[in-house]
Amino acid sequence: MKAKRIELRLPAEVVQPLLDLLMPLVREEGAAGLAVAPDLEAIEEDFREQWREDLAAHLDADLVRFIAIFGTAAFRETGVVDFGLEDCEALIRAAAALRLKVRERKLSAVADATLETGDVDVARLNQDEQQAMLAYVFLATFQEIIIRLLDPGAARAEE
Amino acid sequence: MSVAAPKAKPATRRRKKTVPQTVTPWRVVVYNDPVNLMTYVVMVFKRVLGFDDAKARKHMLEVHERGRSIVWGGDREKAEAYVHTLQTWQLAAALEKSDEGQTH
Repeated sequence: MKAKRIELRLPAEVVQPLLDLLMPLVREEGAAGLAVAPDLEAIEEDFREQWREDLAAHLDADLVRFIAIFGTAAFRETGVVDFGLEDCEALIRAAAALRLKVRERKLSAVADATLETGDVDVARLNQDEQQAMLAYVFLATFQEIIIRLLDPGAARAEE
Repeated sequence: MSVAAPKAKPATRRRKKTVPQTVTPWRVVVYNDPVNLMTYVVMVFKRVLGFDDAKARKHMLEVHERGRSIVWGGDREKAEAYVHTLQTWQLAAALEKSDEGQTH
């Protein structure tokens, strides 16, 4: 039986500038590229470095899948991304990591409570922050699409 | 879908078992963050911890409203593996020693 594929058609002219903002974050390498520092306080000191390296390796693998669908000439030309159901977990984790990175690196001026409620006054952000906010929202939308595919029950969590 | 049996991480496999692993119960705690979507957290709880929809939502709301939720309790090695897996899903998970000798 043919594996299920998902095809999304996106406005490349809108999404590509957001990906240009995200790609440097995608390409951060190793433990320094972790979205946030993991809480390892209760983990034995001898294991912490290996733990971080292992998390970084998982993240790198997820981001490779993200680049494979968004970092292509085909996407830039057509705005079409095509991936299999088997890619969904890696892609949604990659999107979660990138949202955390955008928050840490680009939107630190926005208060947690404001970000959590989504009540962000975009007009008060500078141009770079506005672009970062668009990328942040784009990634959330991408995540919501994948959640509806993987787990329709979870998709109703905010209803 | 992976449920209830987290993959052992390399660090765990190399641990020297100098003390019995079952003496002290450990907790897996997930903390609130302003970034991850509620729907995403519910999905992760279901996929990683094997929760049903209602239990996943209950813990997600606890994280959201109280700032943290104890999502699992038991032996240290398995708790570490859950924390590690939840961190690969980008949740703010941490290992915590249980004061009360009980699980959630």
